Amino acid sequence: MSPRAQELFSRFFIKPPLVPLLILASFIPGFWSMGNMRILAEAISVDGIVVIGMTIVMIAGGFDMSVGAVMALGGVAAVVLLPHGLAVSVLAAGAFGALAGTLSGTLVTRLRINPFISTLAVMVMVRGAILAYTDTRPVVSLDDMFLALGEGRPVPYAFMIMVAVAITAHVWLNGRPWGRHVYAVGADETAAAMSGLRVGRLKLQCYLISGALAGFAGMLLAARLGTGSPIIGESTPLSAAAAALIGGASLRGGEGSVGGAMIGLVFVGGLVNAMNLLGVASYYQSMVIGGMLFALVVADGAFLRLRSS
Amino acid sequence: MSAQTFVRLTGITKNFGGVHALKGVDLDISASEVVALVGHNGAGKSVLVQILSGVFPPSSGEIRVMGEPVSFHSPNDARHHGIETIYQTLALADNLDAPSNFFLGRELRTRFGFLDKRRMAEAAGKALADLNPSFTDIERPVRQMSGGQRQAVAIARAIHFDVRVLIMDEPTAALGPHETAQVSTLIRRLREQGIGILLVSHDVRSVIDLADRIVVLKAGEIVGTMTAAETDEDSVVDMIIRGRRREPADGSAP
Amino acid sequence: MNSIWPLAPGRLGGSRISPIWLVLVAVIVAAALVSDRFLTSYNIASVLQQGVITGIVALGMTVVLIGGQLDLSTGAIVMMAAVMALLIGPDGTLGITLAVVLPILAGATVGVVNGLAVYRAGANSIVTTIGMQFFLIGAVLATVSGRHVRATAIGDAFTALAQARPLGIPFPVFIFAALVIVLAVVMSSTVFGRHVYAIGGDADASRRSGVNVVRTGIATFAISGALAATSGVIIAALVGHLDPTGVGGYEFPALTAVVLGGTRLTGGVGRPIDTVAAILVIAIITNVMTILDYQYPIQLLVQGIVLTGAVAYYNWRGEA
Ligand SMILES: Nc1ncnc2c1ncn2[C@@H]1O[C@H](COP(=O)(O)OP(=O)(O)OP(=O)(O)O)[C@@H](O)[C@H]1O
Ligand SMILES: [Mg+2]
Repeated sequence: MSPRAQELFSRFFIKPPLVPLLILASFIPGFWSMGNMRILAEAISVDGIVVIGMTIVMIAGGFDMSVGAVMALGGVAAVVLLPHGLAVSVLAAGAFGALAGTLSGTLVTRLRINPFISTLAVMVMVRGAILAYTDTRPVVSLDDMFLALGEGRPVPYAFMIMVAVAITAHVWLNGRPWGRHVYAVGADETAAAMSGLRVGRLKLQCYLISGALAGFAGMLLAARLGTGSPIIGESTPLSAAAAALIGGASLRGGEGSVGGAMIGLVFVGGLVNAMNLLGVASYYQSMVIGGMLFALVVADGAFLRLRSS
Repeated sequence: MSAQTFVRLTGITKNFGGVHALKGVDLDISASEVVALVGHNGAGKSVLVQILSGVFPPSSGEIRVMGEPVSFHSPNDARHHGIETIYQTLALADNLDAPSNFFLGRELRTRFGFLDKRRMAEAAGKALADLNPSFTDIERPVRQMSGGQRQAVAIARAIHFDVRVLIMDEPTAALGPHETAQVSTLIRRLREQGIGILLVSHDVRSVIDLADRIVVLKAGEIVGTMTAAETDEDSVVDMIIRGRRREPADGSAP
Repeated sequence: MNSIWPLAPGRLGGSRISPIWLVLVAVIVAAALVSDRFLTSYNIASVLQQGVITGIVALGMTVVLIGGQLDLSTGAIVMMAAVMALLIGPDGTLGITLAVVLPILAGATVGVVNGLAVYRAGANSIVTTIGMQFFLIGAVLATVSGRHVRATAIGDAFTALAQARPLGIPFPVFIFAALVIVLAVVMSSTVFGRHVYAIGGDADASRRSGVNVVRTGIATFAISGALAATSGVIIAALVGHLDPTGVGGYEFPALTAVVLGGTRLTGGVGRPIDTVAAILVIAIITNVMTILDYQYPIQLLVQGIVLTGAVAYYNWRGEA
């Protein structure tokens, strides 16, 4: 096999075992049905938009713990602002997300606070703010246009949007100087700064993008559910990080790709979907995702040790 | 040679994944002998040092101390055999003070098993004063100390505990001329006390001055060993660069 | 000269008294001014009670963070231990002993697994322990099928562990005080404590100096796990029944306290005793907010701001 073919094989069969998973899932009645494919597409499209942002931040050497809370923020903002028109609502979701991302980015770049702690603090602040604003209750929308955004047949709009976002992000990361710079910053910040890159600004942009995408994704979720819930997305940072790590991103930065993250996304989403079909209780799913993240991070660290010792 | 051989390395190799950092190195260090290890950046000097000081094991090969084969699983094993190391990076915990670093890994305890801070402070203070009388205020994080003072802490700690072989990886790389001279004096003094010294350095001139033997490492192999008294700077530099002795003036290199 | 007095400020935590103690005094004064209900003995007891549960968790996290790592699985360990204690049925000498010992052992075991992942395999501690957190929450909820847990039998001696009030002070406060003293001595005056500071300052230098970094690091996580489990057992004794979905979230206030107390986020600097001051500060703020009827969401918001502010402050002082 040529190296390229080997790489492709590994991507789909081993890291992660996506194809084996899909083959196994074929034994679950109804897995490949139109209805279930639609459910799967809906589920992964919202998460997928978040994963893209997370991947970009991780390539730049950071991490975004706040994506789940920002998703909730986007959903609540979108529903609350709907009376001002759909366009305002959609834009506001992204804008509020971008604002949260800017806050994270500022903490990371200006105050030089560790990215995990910065985004953890932002997560808690955003969560507290929307819980306070909504008085911990979901906000409901009956706006037809908004609800229609959560539909789309046979392919959900959200899925098409995710694909569009993925392609855009891929092109920016691979075909633009900006993308090269993000990889450079993640691989070696000092070297990047010494070669004249504006490291702070680049990192800030990455957090901003991640925040905006998370807010936007939250809006899409709210449109699908007809409610903006202040408590959704608790485990989103987890599954997003899992997908990104599976897709080849590293907590050390400088590595990862949108394509890989999408494979990771389909793997995690497919796994959860299969467990749902099998009637596995959500607790077990939490165990599986948590355990998988644990294993992935250990592998990520072990890989580092392999290379350096 | 009448001097006792303290350490003998035979056929030491080390691979990092695909990188062959050492490809079969033989080296002896005897009592009252200064062996200089020179070579290009990346020649494998630090790797050899780390194997001898127990940071990681060799991929193959044998280490003998006083004739006995040994295997080091940790730096403490090497220290138990009297092999002490002053690393290129000094290996000090910046947040701890001088006595804590001095005794790091072999702390003194009271009868009840607690840290004997007083005894450690006194012993470290005395050892540091021996080395550098103007060294005061040792009980602050070494982060706040000057390069020379930090160096003194690393050296004092290495020679304080029954040392047979002292390894110094670039001991003067970060020092000013005055401290460098002090280190040279120290090396001579330790040599007179019967200690064997493995000195890693890029400074060929001072090496010729200080060492008894000069061992040249290139791409993981020893390409030459010279007696310091019988060689000169140009020959050593030539050996480092080309991996062999300079051809006679008329010789045509292939 | 060295202080042989473990509670006195030592060099490892900075030579001065940490500013957090001044903050504590200020917060107490402010609280007393804001609400006349604050200084009632009943309210003070309840502040201490609240502080202790988070405080024990925070003590363990302090040790882990001095070693240079974070443990965010502690909230889930609290929940796991509480549920375990209740399921064991703490009645009779044997039952009570098991209900105290087994959860703590389980907590320490989880800590060892975390420690192995972080120190043996070199995994990022934050993401590792968050993975562990979700794993444990899932495992506990699966065990009890997400239902409310009631002790099958619960002895008075067990509830007395938490509910007794010698001298009017809740008994857990004594447990907490004892743990603080033990940890303060361990960290300042034992070889292990010294090594924790060393690996947090420079793990590589410590390894070369002969410190067993892996074993020391794993021990810090084991301590953190055992202490979090201790908190869980106290909760179980305090309430006697539990909605497992409602227990949790202890890791965040605990982390805030650890950082507020001046433990450096990159490791190597900090003192358990300063974490205690920070815990009290947070407990008092929370208490006053509750008295003034600012509910959980606002408290969350304030905690986020306190954490950010604390890290920013220590960063600015060049110590975080
Ligand atoms: N921990 C490691 N993992 C992988 N490769 C390593 C490791 N340490 C050293 N190497 C490789 O081994 C080779 C020898 O490195 P070494 O550090 O011994 O060089 P050196 O002779 O000390 O150079 P310098 O003069 O720059 O200090 C280099 O190619 C280096 O990249
Ligand atoms: Mg070197």
